Amino acid sequence: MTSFAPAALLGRAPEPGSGRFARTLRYLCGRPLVFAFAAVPLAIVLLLLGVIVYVSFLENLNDGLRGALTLRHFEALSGDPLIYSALWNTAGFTAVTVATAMLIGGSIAWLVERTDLPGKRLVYLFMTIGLLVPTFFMAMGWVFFLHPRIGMFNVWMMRLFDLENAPLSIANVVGMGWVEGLGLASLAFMMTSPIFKALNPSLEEAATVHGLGRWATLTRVILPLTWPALLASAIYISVIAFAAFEVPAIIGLGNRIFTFATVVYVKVTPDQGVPNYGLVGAVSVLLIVISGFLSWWYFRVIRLSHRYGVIQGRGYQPKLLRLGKNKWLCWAGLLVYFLLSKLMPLTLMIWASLLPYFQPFSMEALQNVSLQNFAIIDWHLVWRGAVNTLVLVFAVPTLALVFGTAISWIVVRSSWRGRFLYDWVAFLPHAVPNLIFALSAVIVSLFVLPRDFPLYGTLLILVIVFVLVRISLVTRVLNGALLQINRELEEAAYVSGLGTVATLWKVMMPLVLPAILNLWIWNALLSYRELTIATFMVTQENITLPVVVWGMWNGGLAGQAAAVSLVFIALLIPLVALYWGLRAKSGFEYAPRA
Amino acid sequence: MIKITQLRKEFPAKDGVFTALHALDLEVARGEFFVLLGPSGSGKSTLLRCVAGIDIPEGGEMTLDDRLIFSSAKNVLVRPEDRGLGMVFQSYAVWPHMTVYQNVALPLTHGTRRIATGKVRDRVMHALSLVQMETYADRPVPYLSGGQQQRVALARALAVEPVVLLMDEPLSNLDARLREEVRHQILSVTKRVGVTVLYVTHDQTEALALGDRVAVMHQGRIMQIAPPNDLFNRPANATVAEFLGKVNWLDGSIAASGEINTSIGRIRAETAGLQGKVRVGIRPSSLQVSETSTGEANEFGATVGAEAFLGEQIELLLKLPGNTELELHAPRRARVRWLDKVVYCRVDASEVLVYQE
Repeated sequence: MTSFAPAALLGRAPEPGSGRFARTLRYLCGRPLVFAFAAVPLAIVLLLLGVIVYVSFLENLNDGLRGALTLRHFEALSGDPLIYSALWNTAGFTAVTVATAMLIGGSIAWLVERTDLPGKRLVYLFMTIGLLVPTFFMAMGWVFFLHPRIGMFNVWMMRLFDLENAPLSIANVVGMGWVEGLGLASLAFMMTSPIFKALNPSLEEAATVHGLGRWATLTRVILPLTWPALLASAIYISVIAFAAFEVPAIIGLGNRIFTFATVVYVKVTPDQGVPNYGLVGAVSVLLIVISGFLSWWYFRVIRLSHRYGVIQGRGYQPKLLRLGKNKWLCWAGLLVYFLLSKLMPLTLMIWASLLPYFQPFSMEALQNVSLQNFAIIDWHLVWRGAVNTLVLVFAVPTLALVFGTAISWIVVRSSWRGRFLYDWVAFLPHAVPNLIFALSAVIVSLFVLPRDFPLYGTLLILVIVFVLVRISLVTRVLNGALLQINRELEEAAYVSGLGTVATLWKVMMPLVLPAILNLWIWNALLSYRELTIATFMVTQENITLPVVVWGMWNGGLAGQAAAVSLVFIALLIPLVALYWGLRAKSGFEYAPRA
Repeated sequence: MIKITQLRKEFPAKDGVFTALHALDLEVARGEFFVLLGPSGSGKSTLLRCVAGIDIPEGGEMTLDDRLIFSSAKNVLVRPEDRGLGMVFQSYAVWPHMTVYQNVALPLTHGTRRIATGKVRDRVMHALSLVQMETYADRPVPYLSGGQQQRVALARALAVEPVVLLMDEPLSNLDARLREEVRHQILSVTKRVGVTVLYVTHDQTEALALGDRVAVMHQGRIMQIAPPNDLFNRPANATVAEFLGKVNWLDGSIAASGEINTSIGRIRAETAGLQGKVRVGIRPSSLQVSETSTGEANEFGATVGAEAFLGEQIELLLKLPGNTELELHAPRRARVRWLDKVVYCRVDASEVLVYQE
């Protein structure tokens, strides 16, 4: 937005030759508050990143940040066998996750967008909501199913065929990747369906007219055209998988299979002594470098996909492939996916919550079924977690939207050259694993801030970090929403006599409202299920509901953990219903990417 | 009505600044329909946006109805909402979350030119009736066609009774037939209301059909300001001539007063004030073709190298001595094949364009 502040107010004439500077100055004088306001969260992002990098070079934190500098931690890092195994595990885990998620999610997206599959709305609904089911919940369900010792499938198979060992185990890199991939398939679906939807059908028709069969059209035309966009989605998912904590923690920790995220967790929660923050900082720097590379690659590929110009704004009526009898086969595949990713974990969690210790289904086990777990749960703790979580659910999306709107406004509507800096910093929380922000916030609150500023262990510190990591998504979606609103709509308002306030309130606000409402609820839901960041920051005081579940699971109380997570899921239902209702009402057509 | 002096506008570019308007002067009279014509990047839209207040110039002065709205020397900058304008945009820019009525009414209820609540309805309906959209008042605008949306935009701009109506390529998003229809409507409505119009377009037909006067812009400068007829017949330079339609160009040199030597022979034309090498331009529509020689001046023998049937007329490509080709438009005649025929073409001395090389 150009500034309309009268030049007379600024006491400086736009002198010849100083045009750009004068314009910038006029702009800044018009809206300095917005610029300063939007800079606050971005400054904290940079501060937290700066601190964690600095700490990795710091001898120790006894004197806060004033200690001597050293390369000792990086040397320790390079000599640590745990780091090497984590490197390979994380690479394998990420590869399996991306392959699983893209194959399942991409196929379903293609079915929904490009074929005449019946019941598309149902599939769409399921995939959207699927993204909200917490990964830790699914992971726990899969442990009950495929654990080498107690897993239901394995126990049955061993009994049935008189086997010595479990035929299948979840407790390895492939198993963890599979579970993570099943969860992220929803995200892969969200990301790939616009690609298939936007593919210009005339390109396909041209192939058909010139004699290419279906298979040749798919492999010679569609896939080559869409691969940059598909690759970009795959990289985006790999950024998430690379730093994933929940599945490696639930499945891997107990079996001593570490990825980077769980290595960091183990290092900051040592069995004895104090955490070695220097070493943790060094691991974080490694994480930042690797995910920074992945994000750089993502942007390169995205640019390439834009060059292909596959994604176009026009509303096509794409030609749909007739499935014929194959549609039953497709639905069978879909049902298997639904079963494996949602229904089976849910069933086993309910079953587990009713047993004192986990046993497979049997008449014998049925004797032990009781609500005992629900009775012995520390409900005070659950209540405290629920209240804290509720505060986060309302505070985080609200604040993230307020800050995000200011940032997006500057990025999209200002003519100031420095706006790209805002955009870039706002993207950092996506490019950098979130747990690093949590770690750094803990370090800052314990060692950097003065002692009479007790931030550590408060709900406030959770709110701050939650808001920071949400800002990437909020600004990205709002940038898109604001860009979609033709600039001339705003200019028409000014020229026809509406002032800034009336323009914002009567014209701009109603136009972005669907996006804002949608973002609010979506971020509320993501804050509700957030485990990773909270795990690194909570104390008994600011504990959240997912961390209560994690604490019980980690402490070996699988039955109680299952019980509490069922409560957790039950509380999720009204929020999801609200989201779905509003989505239908506002006609807002997509869920923002997580 | 509009007075612009020494207006300068710059945009930051990769290598320093890009000057979109070079110290530009312009005056538009009250009630005049004034068209800015130019190719994309000529600065015509930038000029309009500076008048609107959406873009801020780096230097110069602008007054609207004797009121100073911008002056770099006197440090004056009036906000767009305070300039009393109406504007129609290329993208229509009707607010998609409102009905037709609400779009026209909003500036009257919440703008700087708001009127008494009781009078809003009459004013809106009057504006809508001007563009024959009153029956659509309660329709949400996304349900309207492009032409209808543009008429709503016109009604919205007129409803505030602007001192000047700005129009930024309002027809370019419409298809050819609709364009003509809306063009007629714009002309009749603006003349009826008597509003001063500043109209931007890159289409010369539109400019010639609409403008009382037309300014041709090129690279941030105004090349010529004239009524459409003068502009077409007496373009100030080759660039303007070229922009108003196809021209056959010949190299020539002044032989005597009123006579020019060219590759196809001696051409008679007005040559006052010219000497030495010149460029000679003949529009395809200025050339007359016949199968027999009339013996008059400015007649040249040629063979037809190509012909294209265009419906209303026939486009011929003539081959002349000296490897010269001339394009001309011949009237349509039944069952006459021109190709490979030997013909004679003639041009009136007053229709030959001559510019100093």
